[in-house]
Amino acid sequence: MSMDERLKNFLYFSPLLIFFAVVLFWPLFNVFYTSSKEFGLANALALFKPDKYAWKSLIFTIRVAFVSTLLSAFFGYSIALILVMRKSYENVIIQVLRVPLFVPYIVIGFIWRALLAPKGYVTMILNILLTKLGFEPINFMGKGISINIAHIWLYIPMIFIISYAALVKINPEIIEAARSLGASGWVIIKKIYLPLTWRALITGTSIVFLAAFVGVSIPLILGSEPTYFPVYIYYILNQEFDIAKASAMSMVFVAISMFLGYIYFTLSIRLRRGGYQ
Amino acid sequence: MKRGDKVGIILASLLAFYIFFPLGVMILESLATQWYRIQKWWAPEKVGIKWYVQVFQTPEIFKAIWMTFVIAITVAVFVILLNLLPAYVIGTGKIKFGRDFFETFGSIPQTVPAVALGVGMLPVYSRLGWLYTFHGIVLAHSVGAVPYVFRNLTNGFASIDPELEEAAKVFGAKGLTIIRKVYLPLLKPYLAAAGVLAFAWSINEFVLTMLLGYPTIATIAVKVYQNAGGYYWAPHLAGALSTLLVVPSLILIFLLEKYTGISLQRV
Amino acid sequence: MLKVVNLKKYYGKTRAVDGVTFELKRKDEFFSLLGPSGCGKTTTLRIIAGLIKPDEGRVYFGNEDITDVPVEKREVGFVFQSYALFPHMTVFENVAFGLKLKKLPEEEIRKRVKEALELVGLQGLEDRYPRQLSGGQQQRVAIARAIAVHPKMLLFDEPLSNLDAKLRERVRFELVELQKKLKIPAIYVTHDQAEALVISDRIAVMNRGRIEQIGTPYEIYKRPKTPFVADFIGISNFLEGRVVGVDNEKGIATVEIKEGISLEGFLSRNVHKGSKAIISIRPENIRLAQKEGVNVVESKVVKKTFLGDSYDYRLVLGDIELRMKTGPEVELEVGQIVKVELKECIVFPKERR
Ligand SMILES: Nc1ncnc2c1ncn2[C@@H]1O[C@H](COP(=O)(O)OP(=O)(O)OP(=O)(O)O)[C@@H](O)[C@H]1O
Ligand SMILES: [Mg+2]
Repeated sequence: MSMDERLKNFLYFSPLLIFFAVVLFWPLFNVFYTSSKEFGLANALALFKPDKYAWKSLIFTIRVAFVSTLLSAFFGYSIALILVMRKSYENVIIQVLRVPLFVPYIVIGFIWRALLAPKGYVTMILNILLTKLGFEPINFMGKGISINIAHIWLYIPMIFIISYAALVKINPEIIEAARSLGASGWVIIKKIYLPLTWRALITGTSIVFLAAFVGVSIPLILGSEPTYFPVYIYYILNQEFDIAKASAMSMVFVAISMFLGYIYFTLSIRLRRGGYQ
Repeated sequence: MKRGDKVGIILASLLAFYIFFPLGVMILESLATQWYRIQKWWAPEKVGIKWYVQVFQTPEIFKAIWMTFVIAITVAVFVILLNLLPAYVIGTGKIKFGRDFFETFGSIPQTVPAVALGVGMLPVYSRLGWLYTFHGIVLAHSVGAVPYVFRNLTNGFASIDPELEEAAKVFGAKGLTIIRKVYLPLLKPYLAAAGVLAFAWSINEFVLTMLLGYPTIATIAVKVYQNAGGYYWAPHLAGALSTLLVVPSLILIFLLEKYTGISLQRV
Repeated sequence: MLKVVNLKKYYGKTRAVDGVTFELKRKDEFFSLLGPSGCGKTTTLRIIAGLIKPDEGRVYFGNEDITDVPVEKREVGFVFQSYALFPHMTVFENVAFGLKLKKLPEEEIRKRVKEALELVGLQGLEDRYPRQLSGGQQQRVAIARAIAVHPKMLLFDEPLSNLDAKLRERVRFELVELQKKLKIPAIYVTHDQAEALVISDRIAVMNRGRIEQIGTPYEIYKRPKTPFVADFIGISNFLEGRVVGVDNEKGIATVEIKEGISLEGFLSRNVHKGSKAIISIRPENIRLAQKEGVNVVESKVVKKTFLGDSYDYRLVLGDIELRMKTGPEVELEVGQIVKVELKECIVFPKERR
């Protein structure tokens, strides 16, 4: 390829480069610059001492995001497995499960707050059952579990879609071959389906963890104690107007996200290349 | 599809209930004008479109609704234009060196936390004088929409037979003419998908609007937030606004998929 | 041995398999299901394997009714058209898969994998992954994997259709040789009539979910029972006419195909004098004749095509066209009038469709 040609291709790419430079890289650089110069590294690290609120918030957030991811991965992948193995009502189920992906996050937060509030349907019905069985009534609000519940409504479908796409790519004759050699149910899942789709599952899991970890809207509406980490940054910015502190906290955030993003990208490139298929 | 398969029916109905019950409650909240207090706590006493009327008659909310769609459409058009050329060189395989890098490049915004981006954008926007401006918000919404549009357009270009371009070149077509005359007609379904996804992303976007646009610029998402506990708990208004946000876009997506045969991938 | 009785499988209105019955006679019989695309061969084979349940009918093995035994308990070796190798396992792991599930000791597994790979001539490739093998090698791995578990029968679904013509021809013979060595019955699905004729002990010709005829390759070729079989196996000319004489003792009927022209042919089934009939003649059974006689007619050459080892002539007999195949030494000119003898004609009753 000639120099000229390369330059031309680069030019074709330039609109996007300029756009990213202004509204993505410059702001990110700003976060880095502000936190190291104005706030100082030592101060930034001090924020994350174990007895500090920021640290508590971060740990809480990682825990909640982790639980949401695990639950979503389990249910999402299981539903996808059941679907490829039984092949019944798959079109209906796929269409149904795609719906949450097109509901704005803020609306998801609102809906689950309405459902999980002390007078919400879910809480009321659960508590009627619980009191009948002789247990204490429960309260969801302000707890990590309410965020989990709202999260998985969105993320089970996400994992499902990604896993299902990988699972249906498997040549059905491979499964039949395994069966004709004496494998059934669990063995097929363990020896064929999982080894052939773990990349997709990990990709999905890393996307979901990332989304759950950085997403503001859902925990902002549901609220929690300690505050969800991205929400905490949002408050510092919007209520304390402390850009330097917010920048310092965002650094952690950007670092973790970039790391997860890296895993996701390398895997998704492999996936696109076809993996084993 | 195996009819009459019990596991299938049970799974399908459970999932349908799981997904649609919350959405049903959202609509119910927006329609219920009065609730029973004690015994029939779960049923509304009266239903009507009172809250929708109220929403449309409050100038400030009406403006937000209007603003939401204007911003979303602008974002969709802008991001498509922005990605057309890059997607063309990647999708048609013109860039050989560092392909993975460029393919990944368009997806970077996916890994950047919106809050962190907002934190960084505030000083940049205030220096550029973009705070609280329409174009400032459009640009902010566009960042997150790039990955969807980039990917769809790249796939679109990749799906087109390269011989078509060569054939066009034989007849003397060049650069932009090739894109306009050869690719655009074939790209239509991908453009539609990209546009709808960018639109969906924009109406979903909340944090950046709140940080960089509010109070001059507010969208439905901002109004939902304010009525869903941000400022006060008004589930009837939040419900009406949410319904206005969700139901039209679901119908739009359904119709689009039905009539163009494409399937929108939001993951 | 294996016996299937009145198998039926419908998909909505499609009658994929519509009453299939046959029985394998010998322990090492190589039995083929032959027919055009969509006639239900694969469906039949998959019912036998237990991969799908028939709507009706039974499958017996020995004296046992195995219709409701699931595939994983049937101990059949199935070789798929796509080979269906496990892409994430090496050749060794692929072949050992069924053995490991049987929980055989490590030693035994190693021995049996080696044995199976030797039988298909693939030693030394144990550590390769399927994508590192050629089509022919993958195909052998698929066979090795199927035989390593010592199955009770071998089922093949067009296993050679992805190989090039030369290789296909070689592997055909190896396959039969291997099966005779293993002494287990094999059912082989193909739509390639030449392949079926070469490798099978017996062939069942299928059409629209039904079996048209079962017989040895010789019987199927020489004495087709239906016009469909005559047409599907090799090439045949078909002539219509009216039966003017029947000799049941000799199994011969005379059919008038035109005013004054009658042909004699073997009866495929009973026909009645005066009824309509179809006569089939293979191109290679039309010969030049010197003198008048039975089944000798006069015709005109209208087209001549050289095929290397033979000539393909088109003859006309009034409004009837015939194909004739001759050796390369038979030189005729277009427009020439020749006497030809139509040998080995077969007479079918004309069925109303
Ligand atoms: N799962 C299915 N659902 C609906 N129809 C089917 C199914 N499987 C097979 N059929 C139909 O049943 C008929 C027989 O199919 P089958 O696969 O047995 O044909 P075949 O003889 O193996 O053909 P080929 O040579 O093309 O492989 C076809 O018309 C096919 O379309
Ligand atoms: Mg078949």
